[in-house]
Amino acid sequence: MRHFNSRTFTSALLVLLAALPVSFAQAHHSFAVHFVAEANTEVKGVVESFRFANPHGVLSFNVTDANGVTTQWKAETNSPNILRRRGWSKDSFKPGDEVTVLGFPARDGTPFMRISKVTFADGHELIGQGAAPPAQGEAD
Amino acid sequence: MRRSSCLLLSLLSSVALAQTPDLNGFWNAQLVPAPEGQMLLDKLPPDAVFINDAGAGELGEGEYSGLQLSDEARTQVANYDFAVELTPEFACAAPSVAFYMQAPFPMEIHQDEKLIVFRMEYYDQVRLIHLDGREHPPADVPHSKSGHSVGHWEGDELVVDTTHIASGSFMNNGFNHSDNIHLTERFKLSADGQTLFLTQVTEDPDVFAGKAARYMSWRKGEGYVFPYDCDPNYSGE
Repeated sequence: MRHFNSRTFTSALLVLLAALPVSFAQAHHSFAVHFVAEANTEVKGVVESFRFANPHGVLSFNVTDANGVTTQWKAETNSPNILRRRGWSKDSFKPGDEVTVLGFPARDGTPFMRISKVTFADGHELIGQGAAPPAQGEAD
Repeated sequence: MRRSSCLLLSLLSSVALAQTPDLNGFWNAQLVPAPEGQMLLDKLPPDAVFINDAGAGELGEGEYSGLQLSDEARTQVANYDFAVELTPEFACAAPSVAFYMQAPFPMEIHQDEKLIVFRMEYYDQVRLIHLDGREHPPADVPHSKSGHSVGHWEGDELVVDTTHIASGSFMNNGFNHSDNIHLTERFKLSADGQTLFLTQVTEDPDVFAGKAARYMSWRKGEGYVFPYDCDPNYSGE
């Protein structure tokens, strides 16, 4: 059994700091169980729909590979409340938008991820979970 | 003489109120708890097991910070199905106060002499801390996610005792606490009043031995708690 003392806290704090930024993880479900925090996946596709509600927003988009085969991907966001404070809104995406989505891949290998960053065709970006250090006091 | 006594009592009362820390305001959770709350950490029971998942942290599957789980809890975690977490039925199941206080979301505090209200952004939860000397209700009164909290001031520290907490996730990794969980908290402001520190000590003999402890902090900010308005139509698949 690991008991509390100041040294334990300091050590634990250092471990936590070392794990940043990818451990901005808390959600309604376990992040660590469902996504690979140590990996990134990036896919380019065309937006089909965007739902922006707690506990997670969900971006659906279609990715067509070199053989012309199209796969529907889903990418969930961290809490929309947090993202609203970063400029996201329900109108951040519209069907037909070309996007490059970077995120943490699903552990089960399905076309599903947690969004770190979305880059639009005109170059502007939306930041999701853990892709950049948050401002002081900003939750993720 | 009588008038002098009244004036003196009034003056003493005003002084006491003036010395009560002012927790009112909008508070941003800190992703990494501020180490300046050491004075509260020093008051934690030395045998408490420290759970290091406050703010940005999260424990993985099978990680319980070294807590000794009861047989009942071991059975529960062994049978836990993580797939259920991505279903609409699970999406809006709010966590309890034993977990939500350390979530990385803002909160508002509204403080009066006999009542303090915590309005949590995470899952729209609300806590009432009664400071009027009341006791907890009988054990068979229905439990809730925020439980029943009574508090008092010990110097500049707010001490809160909470019971009647409905069972819910304890670590967001499939390990749930029971309806019999008991929470003792200490809140304290930094000297400049801009950081709020909290330690929690948890006892739940139904699911783990001894005591568990958490530590978290918030920075005062400008803003409002947004509605969470959880949408049960969420599905991660």
